[in-house]
Amino acid sequence: MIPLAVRAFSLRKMVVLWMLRRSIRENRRLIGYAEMTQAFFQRLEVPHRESPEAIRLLKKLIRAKENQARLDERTLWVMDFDMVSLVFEVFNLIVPRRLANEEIGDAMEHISRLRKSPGPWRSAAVATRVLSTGFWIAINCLREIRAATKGRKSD
Amino acid sequence: MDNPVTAKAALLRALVQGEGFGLDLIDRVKVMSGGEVMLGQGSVYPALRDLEREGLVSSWEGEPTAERGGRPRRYYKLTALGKRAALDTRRTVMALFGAPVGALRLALPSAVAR
Repeated sequence: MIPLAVRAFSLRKMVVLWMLRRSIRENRRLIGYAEMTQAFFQRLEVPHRESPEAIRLLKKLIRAKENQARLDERTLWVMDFDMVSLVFEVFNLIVPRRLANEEIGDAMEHISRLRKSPGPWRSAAVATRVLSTGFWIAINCLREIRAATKGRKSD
Repeated sequence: MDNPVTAKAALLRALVQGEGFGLDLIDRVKVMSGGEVMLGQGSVYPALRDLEREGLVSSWEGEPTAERGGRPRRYYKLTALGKRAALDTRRTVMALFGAPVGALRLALPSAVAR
């Protein structure tokens, strides 16, 4: 039986993570405004556009945008991984220890490898891996139970 | 047509190279077969546990790692019985498909005529 305190803690953590994700998406929208500002600078008359002040501002803007994107990427990944761990922790409570260590452990290791692979489909790949792991753990758990009862019957 | 190689045979062949854990064995089979045999998580873990029950492989837990959420890897290696089974499987496959392609071509029309 899962202690109530643990469940309440997990739920609170999930809500906090969800709120953090939302705030990061908001920041991304702000970055969109920064792009508009950049486009505005580019449309300025040549003498104005090439003034040291405009160039300095533009460079600052571009650097800030790059830093923000990097930070977003890292934060989102850490949060995604946290969320994945949380989901797997729930499985951990239900399935036998050996299955949890082996299959959930391998799934988490695979997900950390996915982080290093480039591509826009990474989040989808992680979600698919989590879902398929859940499905196969349930099936394998049933298979194990069946094998154990079969073994006991033949004894 | 599906690939006729069973998960157990593929795992036995992969373990001939040395000990390994689930994820590593999936990659090893994929590389060894040039991408022809792809084991999924639905087939590899039950097959490994069956092989262990049959006494063909033995397993032990390694050190827990952070990237696995503090869970240890489970390593597998062939037992003496497993090595013999791997050799037997190889012999059977070679006996069935190991004949030169020319010989198979020559044998086929006569088999059809008969």
